Amino acid sequence: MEYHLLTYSFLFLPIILILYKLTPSKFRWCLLLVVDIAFYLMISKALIVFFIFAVVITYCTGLMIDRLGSSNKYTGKMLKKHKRIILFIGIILNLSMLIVFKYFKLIGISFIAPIGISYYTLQTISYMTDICRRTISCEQNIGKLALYLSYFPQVIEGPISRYSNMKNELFAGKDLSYTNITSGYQRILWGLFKKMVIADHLAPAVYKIFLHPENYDGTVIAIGAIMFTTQLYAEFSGCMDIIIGSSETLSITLPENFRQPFFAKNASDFWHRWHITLGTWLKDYIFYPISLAKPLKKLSKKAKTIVGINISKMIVPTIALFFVWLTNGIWHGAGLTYLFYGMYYFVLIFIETICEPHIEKFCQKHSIYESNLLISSFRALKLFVIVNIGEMFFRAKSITSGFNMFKKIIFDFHLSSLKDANWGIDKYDMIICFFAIILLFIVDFIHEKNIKLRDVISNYKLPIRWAIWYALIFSIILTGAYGAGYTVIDMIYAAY
Amino acid sequence: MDELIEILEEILPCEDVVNCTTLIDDHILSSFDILSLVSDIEDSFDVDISPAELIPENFNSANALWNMICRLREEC
Repeated sequence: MEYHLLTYSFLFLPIILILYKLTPSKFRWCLLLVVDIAFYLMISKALIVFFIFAVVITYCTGLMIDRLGSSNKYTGKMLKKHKRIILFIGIILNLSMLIVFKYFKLIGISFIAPIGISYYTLQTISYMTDICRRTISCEQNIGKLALYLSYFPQVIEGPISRYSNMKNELFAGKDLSYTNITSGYQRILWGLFKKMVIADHLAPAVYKIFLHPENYDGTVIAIGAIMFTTQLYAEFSGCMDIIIGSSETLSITLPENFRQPFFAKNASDFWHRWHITLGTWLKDYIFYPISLAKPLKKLSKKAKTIVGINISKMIVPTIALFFVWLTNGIWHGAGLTYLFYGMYYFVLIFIETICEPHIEKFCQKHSIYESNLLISSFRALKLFVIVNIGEMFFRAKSITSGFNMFKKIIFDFHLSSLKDANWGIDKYDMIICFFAIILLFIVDFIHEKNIKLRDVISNYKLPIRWAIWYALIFSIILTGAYGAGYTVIDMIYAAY
Repeated sequence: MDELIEILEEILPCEDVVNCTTLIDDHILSSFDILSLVSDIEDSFDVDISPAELIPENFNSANALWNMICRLREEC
């Protein structure tokens, strides 16, 4: 059962809410755990065995690190060293499952991966590392740890949460509240709108163009790339709305994964707004540990004496940044296109890091402000182009195909070809998509101005409030891509 | 403390590092500066700064940094 299916939001979730309400507060986490196991069994069947392995490994690793810390066997640096060895073994054991399922296809051995393995593996690593860093204490109840790792709204495609942020609400068994249920369902509706009205309508056109780009000229390919970026954003952020909204109905807060990414000022800022929980995970568990590794510190010191502080302070972060983007690329899959995608952003952000301070100084000197319409428009356009090129390579069949598409956009661009292009979707669907995307832009713009739209709507009088939500419900029913003539489009990020 | 101020002044030559309490909040210290600062503090004060310490509360001012150094020294 996937989140965007109506059976999830309007059958499965209400049943859970009723059972949750009927269960005494202190047993509610047990109910959630049973639901998680049932949900996981439904979608992954026998592969749940590997999830159980991950839970046991993580639990034992956490417990061993914790006990080592409280015993007097080792102290100081020896204690740290032994803790790190246990942590290393725990990480390797968890990562090995991910590597076998996800990357063995590179050597011709393919398996069906357990659902959500890429997401819960990252959560196991953060949990074990945080115990080793003493920022959290070890969970003594294996059931509670299993609940944190398998929490049903987030197990398929994140957000990648942290144990420290989740444990209180997840285990407290807080009472359901009318406000949270209505607010959660409002968010689910908006998520369904993005997924069913925008993303699923664009999917056939994107599929067609990226399957045989050689049949199209540069104009159609450029629009196809924009369509894919829009599809991906509407789909992934829409699913996040459904996920975070369904958790909100249970009064459990999940971390946000998107914050109006297309209003970012540069590529680096874009990644602070797009798939936020992956970015912060990479920062805390890849960027900082590599940056603070002793060999790199030595290198930095040596460089300081040779090239001076300004250049030497760039060396270590740049190496760490390389590994961040390498991991980001590889995490998405075994294909070379993903690796290219990671390296693409590494190069861009590296260039930005070098150039931005000089550009800022230049702007200050010549009294050019960020609020200047020309400057902000240029920045938005630059980011739009950067993101769309990146997503085009990300979605392309191969790197060669990506470059051929790019070449066509540059050298074979004829607006006249739009008239005869076969998009794979009819005009009616295109018009619906167009207006839905405009609505998405307006909502994002309002959110960017720090206005909480759901709060604003909830302050309106009842008839207006209901008119807005009914309009959204009927727009999904009447214009959503479902039923006869449409195939159910799987969630893109569930495959990563 | 004087040694810490010297380190900060070397990294941020144009800032009032003694009185500033928003080094992170106002983006005065970049992530690159933070890493450089960590390296210098570790050398000068013989402490080990783990990634868990890299939070704004520890880096917003010279005082916050000094408190972190003192705490890490006690833990050693």
